[in-house]
Amino acid sequence: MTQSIRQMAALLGLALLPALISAGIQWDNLKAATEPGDEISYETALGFGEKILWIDARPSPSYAAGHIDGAISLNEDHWQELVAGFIDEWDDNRIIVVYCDGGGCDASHAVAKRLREEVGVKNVHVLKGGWKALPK
Amino acid sequence: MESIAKVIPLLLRLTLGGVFVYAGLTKVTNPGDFAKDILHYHLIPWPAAAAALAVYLPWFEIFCGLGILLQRLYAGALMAVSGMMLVFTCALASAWFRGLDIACGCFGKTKVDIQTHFPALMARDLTLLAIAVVLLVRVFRKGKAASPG
Repeated sequence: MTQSIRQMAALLGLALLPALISAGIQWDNLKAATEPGDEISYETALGFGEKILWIDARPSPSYAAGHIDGAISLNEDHWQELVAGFIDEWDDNRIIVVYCDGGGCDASHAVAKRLREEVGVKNVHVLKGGWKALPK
Repeated sequence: MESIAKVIPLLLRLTLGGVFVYAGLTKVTNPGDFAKDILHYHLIPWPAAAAALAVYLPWFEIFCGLGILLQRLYAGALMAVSGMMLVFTCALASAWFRGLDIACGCFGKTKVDIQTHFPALMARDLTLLAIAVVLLVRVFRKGKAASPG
């Protein structure tokens, strides 16, 4: 048992050096990933007034069960079918706010990223706390 | 019969070691995405701690996986893997219990959603935990038999 613990400590130590090198190389990537970045609160989003275009990144059944008034459904599962609907509604003056289920979901960030990279939308935000944070 | 008794532990060892090396390699190139996945579990409230874990854990997984495959620091690697699988399983169960709509983060940036795949993810993690424990018990039994008195 003592030998096993010693071996485990050796493995913990062995992993340390490449991890430190990796941290040095990937520093910017790590920093960007762990900063809140483009998240905005519901109150901030409301401040955008009529310019706002809500994007519901939740799965289609969740959207069908209820969504923010005027929100467009756009999720990764049906991206190809849904993105055309978004492009019809979007123009450069609109401010896009994407939401998913809650604060822990990744879908809103993923959709926001794809809108920036694949559609070329610049003004994209993610709703902090998502659908669950909305006042009911 | 004797050959089966030798082949099964070998297969279990190759599976467990292979899975850990693969899991580490998928995450080691993009620790940023892995840090995000860790934060989404809401178990570690400090982004800096999540970033440190995201950069360290994949390497630890790779070394443990190699230890199991090559039977170097073997018992220690099995013990570490058992501990990791226990922690991963608890994290998964807690995310499911809290109804979090998040990606698993187990094998890098794949879209394996916890809510929809929970039974499969849980079954996979428990299977890996069971394999690690079986191999570890085997090592301890062998060690006991080999030690004098």
